[in-house]
Amino acid sequence: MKSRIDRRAFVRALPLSALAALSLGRPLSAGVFAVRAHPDPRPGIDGSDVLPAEAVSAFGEDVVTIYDMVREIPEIADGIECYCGCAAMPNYRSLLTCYHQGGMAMGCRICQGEAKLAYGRAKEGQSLERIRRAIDARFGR
Amino acid sequence: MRGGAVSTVGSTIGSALVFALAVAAVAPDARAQVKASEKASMSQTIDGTVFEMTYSRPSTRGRGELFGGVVHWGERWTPGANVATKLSASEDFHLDGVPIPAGSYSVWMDVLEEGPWQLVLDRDTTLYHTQHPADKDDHILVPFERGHSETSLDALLWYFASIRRDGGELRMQWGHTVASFDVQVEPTTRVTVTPEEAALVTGHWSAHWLRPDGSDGRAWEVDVVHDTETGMLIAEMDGGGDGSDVFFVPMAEGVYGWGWGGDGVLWEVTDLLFEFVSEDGEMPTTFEGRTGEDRLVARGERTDPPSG
Repeated sequence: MKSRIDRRAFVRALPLSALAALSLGRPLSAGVFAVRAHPDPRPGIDGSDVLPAEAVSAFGEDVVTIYDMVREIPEIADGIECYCGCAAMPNYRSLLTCYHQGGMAMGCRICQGEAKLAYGRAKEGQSLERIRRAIDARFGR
Repeated sequence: MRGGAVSTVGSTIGSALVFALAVAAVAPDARAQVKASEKASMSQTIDGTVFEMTYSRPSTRGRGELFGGVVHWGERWTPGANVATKLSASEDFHLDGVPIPAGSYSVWMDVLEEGPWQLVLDRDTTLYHTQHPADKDDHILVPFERGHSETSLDALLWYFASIRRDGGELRMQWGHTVASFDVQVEPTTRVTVTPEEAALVTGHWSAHWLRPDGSDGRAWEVDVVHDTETGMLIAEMDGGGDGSDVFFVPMAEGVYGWGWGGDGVLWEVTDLLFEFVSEDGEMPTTFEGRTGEDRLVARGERTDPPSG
């Protein structure tokens, strides 16, 4: 049996990129598996209703970029439950609708974080099921 | 008539005194003032629940017996001075097992010569220390045994003496007298895994930290073990550690946060997540480590059969 590594020894062994994750110390919000059911993406759904850049440019370049990302992956975003309070808003259906007119994604770090994660994973070729698990782990409560 | 006049004068003086006390209590600190009982505050976050106490700190000042003297037996006393001590909590919690809704309360103690004392929480946080609240239906009562400290503390102090993942020990001390309360918050993180969950990830894994360009960097090995006593998943690695534990803390199905602790107690969960990946939808054969920004920083594969 191997010895149990202590925190100091482990941190010494970490690459800088991983060390950043520890030093940031952002508390994880999940952990109780009280995850919500994710919606089934609507067949043929597209990103045409995602607000255009000019509608969200006042919120900064990063936000415009995230809206562009969602426009590229509507079939993924429509299959993801959003973990911020927007699920209670009228016309809410999925993470995708957070990016439609009336959605709150332009000012919501959870909507934005979920979209960035989903986009990155989709570009890696991951399945919707796996992306959902990652969303649950990072944002579920 | 005379009695009435005296009464009127007395009432006027009384009103003036109440007014002066009220002004003293709420007047902004426009300039430095020396106070016999200086203001203080204490704040402590436990797993996201923020506790705050604001109070004034009376000193002994050679006044002899504090309890049974300065504070009379049978008195409902605010453990502080001036405006009643205030306790606020951002989430529901338990105090010595008594459920306390989130919110703010003025804090009082029934100080008795014999038997257990009682903590009394009152929703009115504007009370002055002389406005001892009478019993109310919505009072929250927490009986407790007062303790004794060998070391005397001149100025009354509220503090958390210890912090756990799911709570801590809240203490008040004045002189040699100690009041100690077990605080419990609702943990946001489940730390145990079922044998079925554990069976999917226990075993020996060989891994690499990844360089920024995605190529393999330093190699490492880990045995993932299910501690059946605590129900926790422990990562055992080479590294010459001092015996503290690295835990895999369940965050979602097959996804674990990297946690630290000792003696089966979790101290911290980091932002580093490990996702176990199954190629055939059943037994995971690889894992990925990702930072809070979802950057891939580690990759591993199973190198022996699961221990089940």
